[in-house]
Amino acid sequence: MSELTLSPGTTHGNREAVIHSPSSLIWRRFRQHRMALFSIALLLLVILSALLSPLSVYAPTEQNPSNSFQPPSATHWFGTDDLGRDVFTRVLYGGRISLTVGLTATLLSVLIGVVVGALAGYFGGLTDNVLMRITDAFLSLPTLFVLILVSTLLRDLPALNLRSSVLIVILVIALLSWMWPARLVRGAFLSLKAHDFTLAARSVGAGHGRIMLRHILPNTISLVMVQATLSIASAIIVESGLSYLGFGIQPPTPSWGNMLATAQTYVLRAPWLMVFPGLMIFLTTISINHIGDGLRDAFDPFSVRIN
Amino acid sequence: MKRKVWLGLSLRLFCGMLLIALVAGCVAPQSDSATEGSTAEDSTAEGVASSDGGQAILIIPEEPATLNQYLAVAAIVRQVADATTAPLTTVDAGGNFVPVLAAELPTVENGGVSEDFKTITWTLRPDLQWSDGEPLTSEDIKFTWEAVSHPESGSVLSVGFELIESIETPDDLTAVIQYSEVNQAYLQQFMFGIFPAHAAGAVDDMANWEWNRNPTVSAGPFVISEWASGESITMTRNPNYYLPEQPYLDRIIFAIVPDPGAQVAMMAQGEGDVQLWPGEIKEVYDAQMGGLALLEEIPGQWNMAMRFNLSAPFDDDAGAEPPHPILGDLRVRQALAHAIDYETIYNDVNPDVIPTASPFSYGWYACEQERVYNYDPEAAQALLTEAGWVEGSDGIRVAQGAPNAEDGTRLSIVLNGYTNFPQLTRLEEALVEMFRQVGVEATIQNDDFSIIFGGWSDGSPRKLGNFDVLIYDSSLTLEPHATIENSYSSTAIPSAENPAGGNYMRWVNAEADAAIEAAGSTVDVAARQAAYCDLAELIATELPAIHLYLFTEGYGASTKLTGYEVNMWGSLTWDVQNWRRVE
Repeated sequence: MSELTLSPGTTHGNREAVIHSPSSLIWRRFRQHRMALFSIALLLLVILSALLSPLSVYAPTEQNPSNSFQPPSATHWFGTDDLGRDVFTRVLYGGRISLTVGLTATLLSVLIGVVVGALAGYFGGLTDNVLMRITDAFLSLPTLFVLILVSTLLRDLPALNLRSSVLIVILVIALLSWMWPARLVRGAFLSLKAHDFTLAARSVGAGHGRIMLRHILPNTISLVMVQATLSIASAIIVESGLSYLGFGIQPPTPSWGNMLATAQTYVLRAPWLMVFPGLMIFLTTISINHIGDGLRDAFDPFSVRIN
Repeated sequence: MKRKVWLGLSLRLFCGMLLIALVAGCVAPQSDSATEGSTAEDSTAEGVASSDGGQAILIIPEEPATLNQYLAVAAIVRQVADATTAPLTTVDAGGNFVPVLAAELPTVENGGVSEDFKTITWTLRPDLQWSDGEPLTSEDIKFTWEAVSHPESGSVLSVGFELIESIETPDDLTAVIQYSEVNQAYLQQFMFGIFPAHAAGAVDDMANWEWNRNPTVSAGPFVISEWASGESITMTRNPNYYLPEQPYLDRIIFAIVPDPGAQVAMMAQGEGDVQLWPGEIKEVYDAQMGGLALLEEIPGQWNMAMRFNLSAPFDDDAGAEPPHPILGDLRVRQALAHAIDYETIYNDVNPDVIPTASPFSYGWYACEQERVYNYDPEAAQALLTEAGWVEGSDGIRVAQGAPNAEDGTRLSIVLNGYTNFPQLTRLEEALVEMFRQVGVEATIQNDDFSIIFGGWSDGSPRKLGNFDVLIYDSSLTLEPHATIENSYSSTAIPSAENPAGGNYMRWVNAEADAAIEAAGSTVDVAARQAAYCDLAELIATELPAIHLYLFTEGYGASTKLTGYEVNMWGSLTWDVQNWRRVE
């Protein structure tokens, strides 16, 4: 492929052929996606709120049990929880853990998945067989038993600090979820490697790495993005599930997931305990989803979403 | 393009409003229905005539693995199995033994107990039948003993079967039990049911009986008719139950519903009649039910306590030595006891509990134990300073001349509980904050039930001594000696040689051993109680453990159900034969 390319948009009605570099083309396409731009702003706001959490007048673990289950008010914007803690502050602090876990675990699982899927799909044959059997093996692992096993192994160690707990949670989630992107990417590579543009690239002497990274991979971005956006929300929820099995983020450290889990008990009595962390997970997921949408359109050479 | 965005935005706005409306819908009717509830309650209180027959749906959170109570570790088994079980005796709500299949309780006076207490004669009620019409005889009692005491039976209940030397059955109604030594718990011997010799299976194969999961022949009030795994267990009326008109209900259905939210919703919509272990305080529960059901509560057997590890953890030695670097010092334990704001726990953190400082707070052996170290943060601070723990840069104390810890060691402990129990987590979170106020850093490490309550070979932390503070609830039965001895005696520290040991604190105290021995060497109830009270005082003073409160126990019951009695000694279904529906 040359450094300069004809924009696909030029075939759809523009009278003058405009020549863009791939990156400027991607950016042009992306910024046409208003929801994606809005979502970036929203996600930045969510991340910023988590970063600025120490500015809150309350501490996340500061208790006042006689003031429990207060509905949202001017003093406690998101109300108080079962131990009289400020839910607003806990939601902000919870974002630190949840966003770290959700984004990093997803990034890691997608990274592993893409590498495995790309190698398997592109090279086929023995490589494909070996990698896919490993993928199958991971898929057939009963998650609950693996988690209990890990939990038991960890139990032989003295208590972990928060940083190690978060790291373990991220690794565990990534290791148990890379198989889905791997299978998707493999499928896409299998199909795309037979396309003319791949053959063309090969015919002009492009190496395997270049063909995979520059020609095929961008075409799989839409699949990967959809998978990634779905798995961010699930990683946030899985994190709270892990604490049920004895590892993960232990109370009183807040995370959106464990706040939601606790809120289940009080769903009728204090619905705000569920609404706010739920809303944050919703906003994060929906904004990542839209950003993914935007990226997909921007990367997709067949996209018509351009003026 | 713009239109698309607006469409998308509108759709999202609509969804958002729908969400808000749904949440509002969940909250708003609550107060209305609570008002309606009081009306409904009043009308049922008037006493509408009972009509026999009908069914009751009992919501249970988990599925029992078996209905053979002698094989059961999980508490859920008894809650379900009692409906199909016929014991010789049971314990009523007042804590008194009452005969069920037995014609009367054997005593020295009526000749049922020999002068040396080693021979017990049980007499069955006449004309008893199993649900299939076969006669129920003393042979079934003997069969039960043979099956349960078989070395490969898999029995987990030790209520003295190993002490039985022989059972003679001179006639169909009489079973004479010869014990090798006095069994203080002889009235409990067959409290968990007797088996049908003709229908259960081979006597040496109890662990594998199909009957365990499918007891189609029973002498209890109900007989199992369908078990849809993961969904429900249906039982129908036993036509040959020993009480001629009973049970009053035709059918009971145990609905297996793990999700607490779904359980509450079922009850609130009248789709369930009984909800086991609702985990909610009465005031809130009753309001949620809008008059369709009420939480029936009594003081329960579960005593919440913190147990301190007095021995060093993670040293590959489960024994009592060397001492725990922090908790091995009595002054630190006293300081922790002083740091706990008990009133806040009882009033705000977990209201609806019954305060106690005693390990023995109910039954004939109850001891009213005063709390020796009350809430006094200043005293806690002074004790910690005296014990060589000085304030560090971040407010958490560090060792400086502490007897068992190297200088610079952080005063940091881990609270080990079990997961999936919101009330326990709430207590732990409150304790973390209270301890922090006096410069003690506490973190919570809750483990899965199977890990914290695992055995020696499972590597359970409490067995191996790899913990700082265990925090969970435990209970005692009517005859508590075996449990008390196994919990506090210095000979009961878990080890490879004694994997069943339950002195997890690694507490070695000669006075405690003497009190336990005194209680175990007599059948005189007053003397035994006095010895247990000595032990309770030692525990409250030496603080291997801090006892906090008893849970209230009970279940949510539909206002359309009558005849039941909540019994701290019995299961949910201990009196299911008395339940009736009112219309």
